[in-house]
Amino acid sequence: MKDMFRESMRWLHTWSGLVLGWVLFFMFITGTVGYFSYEIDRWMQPEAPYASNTSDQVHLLSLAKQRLDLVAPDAIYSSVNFPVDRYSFLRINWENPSNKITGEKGERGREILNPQTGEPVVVRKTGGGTLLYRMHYALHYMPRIVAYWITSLCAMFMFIALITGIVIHIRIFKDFFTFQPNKQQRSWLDMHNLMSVLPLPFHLMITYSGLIFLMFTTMPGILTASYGDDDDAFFDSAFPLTTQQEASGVYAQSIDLSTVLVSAQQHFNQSQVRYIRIQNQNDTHAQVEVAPRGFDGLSRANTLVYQGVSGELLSTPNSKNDQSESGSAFVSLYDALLNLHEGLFAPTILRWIYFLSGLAGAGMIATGMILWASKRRKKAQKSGQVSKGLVLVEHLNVGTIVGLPIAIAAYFWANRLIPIHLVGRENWEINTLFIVWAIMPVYSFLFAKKRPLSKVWAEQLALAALMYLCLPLLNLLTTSQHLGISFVQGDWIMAGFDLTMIVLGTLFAIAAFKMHRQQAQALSPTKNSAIKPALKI
Amino acid sequence: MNVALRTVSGFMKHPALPLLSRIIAAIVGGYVFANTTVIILSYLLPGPQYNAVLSGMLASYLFYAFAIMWVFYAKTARKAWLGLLVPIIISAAFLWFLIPQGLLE
Repeated sequence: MKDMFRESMRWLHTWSGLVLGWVLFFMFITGTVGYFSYEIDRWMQPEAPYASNTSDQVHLLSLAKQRLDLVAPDAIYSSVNFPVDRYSFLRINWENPSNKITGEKGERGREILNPQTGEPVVVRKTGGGTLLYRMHYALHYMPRIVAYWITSLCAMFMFIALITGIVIHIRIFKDFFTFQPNKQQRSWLDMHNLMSVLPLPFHLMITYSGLIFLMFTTMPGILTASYGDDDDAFFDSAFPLTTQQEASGVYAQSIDLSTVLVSAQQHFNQSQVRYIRIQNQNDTHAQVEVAPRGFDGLSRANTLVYQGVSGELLSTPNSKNDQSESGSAFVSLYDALLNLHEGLFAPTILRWIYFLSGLAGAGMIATGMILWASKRRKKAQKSGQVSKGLVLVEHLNVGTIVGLPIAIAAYFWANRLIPIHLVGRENWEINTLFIVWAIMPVYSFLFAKKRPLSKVWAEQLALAALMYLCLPLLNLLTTSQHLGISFVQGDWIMAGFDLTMIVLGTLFAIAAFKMHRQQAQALSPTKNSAIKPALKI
Repeated sequence: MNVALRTVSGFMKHPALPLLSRIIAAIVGGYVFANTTVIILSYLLPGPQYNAVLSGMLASYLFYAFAIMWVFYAKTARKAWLGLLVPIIISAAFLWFLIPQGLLE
């Protein structure tokens, strides 16, 4: 009885992991990359000069204000985002008043400013790291809602694969200490277990919270059963927001923002804040909001809101907190799950742990799919019959597990190589990613007769190594923000990206070399013993 | 007509059919099961309504996962369906008859 349960769960584990595995791999990789989306945004907009994290914000504000007064003197909303923490730009946003006759929303604008001169910087159009990150739940080339259902379905498959994986590997913790490298299939299994067990809490958290993220799309019936069409009633009671005050329509000169900024800096006891924004500018109901750096537990620390004419402090950082404490434990649980998933609160080291856990998740999926194929390949060699399904999986494996990283590198290459003024260049960047990804399994399939699969693995790993290792070089040739400069300036975000690419490229190179050696050994088993001692020397 | 009938009956005997049936039971049946049980739960849980609804939604994917695992554990596809449909029908009946009468809430 117990065995039958395990057997059925083993079957479910195998197939729920495989069927959508390649989409899940894509979701894990792009989501993991997303933990550095701001940093990638910065690398992909190299025109923006380095903005120091320690610059005088009152001065930056006055530069930004000058520009805002010039481009949007009548704006009803404007904001200034400062370069702090992971964010490297001095950026302004604004919204013009809506058309009084047609009621049409006013024009919105955003600009990145040079922090030295206050002049706007013309940056290339790019989807950046933000698009890369967004694709892990919104995919691409399809309506958002369709993508939400597909990614939720994938997450459900992942969740099932995780639970059944735990069920069938109750002895998993024992297995964990018996890692045996270099034993082919056995070591793939060990690697699969290693990457599953160690970060298992992360995998469970990220998968379940991913489902929770989209629950209002995928489980709407539960809400409707209690609230009918009146969704707002639910959201108003579960997630009360401080309602924004409407404009009065009566003119009143807004307070000087720098006064508010200084007051907020003193209040937060920080010389650096994240942003300052003003609503209903030059109206008696104007409000100014200032956001501090840092986090209050898992969520962003609360902002300060000032009356925009008198400068009176309307809310203290604690007042919103009290509100959420009076809310339910489930609201807190919901918030906590989403915050854990996004990991915005994570400082550098924890952010890297997030990143590595995400990569381990992708590795878990990859090794699982390789394991599926290698088991069946072994059987096929004995029986002499190779199924079409096995061939398909084998080519999709190499074309996705190595092909997707190649495609992401190609996305970065496209960012530097596509002409800056080409119309729709940002679309071509992302098209490049998908075209290159599509080529990889097709290439592997077309040349299947000419070369063994292990050779394709070695080739694609080598290509990945080359593409990542050359990215800093490409950056040097095409921009003035290369490693030599970013080091001297202390632009760690720019330098960090280049260095990470070198590390990734090196890892791919090691993998390619190993694969190449393994393949050489497999082709000449007799020479096997002769090669090994030679290499040791 | 005869041909069509033969294809249908041939399809009904196809060895992959029980598996296909289970997959539909897991994905569709499991989804309905999760929804109906969680809706009942959200009516029965004490405390403010929004709280009950939110907690139900947060747990809904656990119910879904449970149903999927049941479907593949059941000895036959028929049993798998039965195990889902019985609670679904009971919950649905409960909802249709009791809720409009104001016996709950």
